[in-house]
Amino acid sequence: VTTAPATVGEWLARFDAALIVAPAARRALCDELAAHFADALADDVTEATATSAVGAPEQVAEACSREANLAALQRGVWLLIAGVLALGAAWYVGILVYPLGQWVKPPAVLYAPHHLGLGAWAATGVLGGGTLLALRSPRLLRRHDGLALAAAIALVAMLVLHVVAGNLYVWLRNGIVPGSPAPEAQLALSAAHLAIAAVVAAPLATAAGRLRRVAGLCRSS
Amino acid sequence: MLGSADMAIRDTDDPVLDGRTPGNLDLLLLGVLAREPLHGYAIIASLGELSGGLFDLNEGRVYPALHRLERTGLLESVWGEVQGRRRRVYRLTRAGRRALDAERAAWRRTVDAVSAVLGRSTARAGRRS
Repeated sequence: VTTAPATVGEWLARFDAALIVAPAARRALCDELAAHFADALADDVTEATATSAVGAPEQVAEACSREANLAALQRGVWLLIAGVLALGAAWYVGILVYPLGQWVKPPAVLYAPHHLGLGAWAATGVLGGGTLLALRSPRLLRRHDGLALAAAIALVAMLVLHVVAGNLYVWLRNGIVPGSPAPEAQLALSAAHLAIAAVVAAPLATAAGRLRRVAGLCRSS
Repeated sequence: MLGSADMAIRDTDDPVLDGRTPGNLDLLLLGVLAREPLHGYAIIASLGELSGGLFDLNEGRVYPALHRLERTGLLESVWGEVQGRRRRVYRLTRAGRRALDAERAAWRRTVDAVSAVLGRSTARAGRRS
């Protein structure tokens, strides 16, 4: 449908139905357009004239959705970068807390996979964060939306890999290294680890979802 | 392009306000908001008034353009009560003012260049006749 309806009520209903935005943005957009029509009607403009001057609600909704999602994406990227930094900080806290336990000197053979996993995670975090920071520019995002999406997905995938493989590694290692935490203590540590990962993964997954949606909007525009 | 002075320029069919060149609409919006902070409907009314009714805007394009300018940091908006109604009022940021100054200068250079070309063409036509 590309024509404007004759009544303001119908225009706003179709506009609301065509919006693809978060609830807060939807409320703001509907309020703004409702205020516009209220002003027009107060100026003695007829409903049909007011709606036709604004145009088809679906077209306005599409343009408004694109802008609202790009704005949300820019905030989302900061959330994502904050998540990566929080994870990095958690690692350093972990490194400081490690020596307080009794597993300071595990057999040397166990260092390699541990350090490799840490290095891979840190490299992915830095690369992914850097890529997304560079793609904050809407112009670059339109050209490289696929790259931004791939970076966000890689970060989420690495987080899952880190949590799953890391916990498996610790459980296996505890069977070899004397003085490792008791299974109950390790269970509590793993649960805390998973909880932190879930808190970090939420903004990452939200940002990835927004990237996917905006990438679709950019391609269709 | 302009026809007669009485003919309104619609942004759907004229390059001055065509959607393919959103920069011109952005420039007009920044220009209106440089005078005072306004809400959407008042911006459209002010554009109509200042242009003497020459710009027959597609009003549906104004809101996404305002949101784009806000996203890029050239405008900021606050919700407030204006004449008894809740409205979103836009105003220029410092970056918006700088962008407007730069755009104004670029626009003047374009107008000067076009005027110079049109002036020369007119003079040549006059010499030939």
